[in-house]
Amino acid sequence: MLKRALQLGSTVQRFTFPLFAGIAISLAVLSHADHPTIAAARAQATDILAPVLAVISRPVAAVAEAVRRVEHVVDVHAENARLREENARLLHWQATARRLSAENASFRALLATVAEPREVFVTARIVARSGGTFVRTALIDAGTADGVAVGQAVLAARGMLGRIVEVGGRSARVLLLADLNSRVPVVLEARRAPAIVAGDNSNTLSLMFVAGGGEDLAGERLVTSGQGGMLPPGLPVGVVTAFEDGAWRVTPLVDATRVEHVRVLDYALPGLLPVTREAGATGQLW
Amino acid sequence: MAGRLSELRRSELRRKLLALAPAASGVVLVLLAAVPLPVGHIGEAMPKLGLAAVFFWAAHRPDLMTCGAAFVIGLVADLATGAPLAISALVLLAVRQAVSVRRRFFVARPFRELWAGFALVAPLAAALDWALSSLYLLAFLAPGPVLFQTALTVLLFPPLAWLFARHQAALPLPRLPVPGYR
Repeated sequence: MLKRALQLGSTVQRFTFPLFAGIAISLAVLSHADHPTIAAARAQATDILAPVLAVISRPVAAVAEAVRRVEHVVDVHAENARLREENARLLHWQATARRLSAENASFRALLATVAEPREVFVTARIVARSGGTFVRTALIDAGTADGVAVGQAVLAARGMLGRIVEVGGRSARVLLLADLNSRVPVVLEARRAPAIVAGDNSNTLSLMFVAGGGEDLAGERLVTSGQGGMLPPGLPVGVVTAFEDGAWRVTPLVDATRVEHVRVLDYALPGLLPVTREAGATGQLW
Repeated sequence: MAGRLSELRRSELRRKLLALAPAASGVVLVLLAAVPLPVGHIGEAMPKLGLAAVFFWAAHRPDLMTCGAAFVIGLVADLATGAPLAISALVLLAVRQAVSVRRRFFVARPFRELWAGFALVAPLAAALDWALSSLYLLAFLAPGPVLFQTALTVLLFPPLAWLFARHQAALPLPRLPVPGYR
């Protein structure tokens, strides 16, 4: 009897490895094919994990905050001087912005331009992040219950951080600009030339399909172009900093490793895009 | 009599819960590795803490770090970090199987040999992870961050192994029919 049990046990043991390996490979293949069932199950599982991660990330965030406070105390004088100088500069910009805003309003009234759609946003906290070697994503603690939907732009204080690619009831995944699969239509702020900013899993982004790429673009700021209707125009993305291997490199304005809270913009051009299940697609895929 | 019975039942429950500890340690570690760390630039290449748990327990208690446990740990890691689904599960499963089959190289030896074993297994696991992820994403992924991440993981192994080893004695003894357990 015991011998039978031992044999049965070893047989089961021998088959668990191929069994689980088979399950893992099937899951990977289905997930690679973007199968809707897998996507839905993934969103649901992430929904369960998100609150756990939110709880774990609290003390870590508190410790990081304490470290930052110590850093701040150390260089409080230098920081103060820098902020005073920056404040003076920003007051000047504020006056300019007010003047331009008023001028813009009067021009719009004169020309009867179509009003830009209203922007609504929800603020969320980053509760988990990919290790950063193969994918660059972040998990936030807001989902469909808060009005978050696939394709929406995610902003940090200084500029764009990424886009929503997967959404559950109370959590959503952000594809960061640096991810291999990230493509954002932009315009060069001063030249108004369109281009695409692409991620390649490194800390800088590459600038593709830029009109007039032969010129010296260093120092040029990039903002979203709003083409495609998924992202609002004018969101700051990055600054062109270097020319490497025949392509311009862009330094993003947001250091994704330091961001704790983000804003998710609910921007939709009413009637322009049909309701889709996949960002960028124009019809039902499945 | 009833008291004795419930005591027995309680000890059995305690035994079952403790038997889950190695798998639970792996799940906790992969969740910890996914938590954003806004200090320095370490957030870009968080160490694979789950790998250390799977390696240690597959070497010392393969009856408790089962294939299913390694699979679940990997799946939780992929879900938490948003990595290609089931790739980590496959890698950890392979590590679990390889280490538990060759346990005699790792157990009942000085710690530095266990560490050396991990320093050998971790790059192999990283290479497998890199190859599978490249295949999944259909792109040649830059190996630089992976090397850094692997080095960090190997460096973090001693404190983790110390923690595991401290609690190893509290785990229930294996029941007899455990293939591969010597």
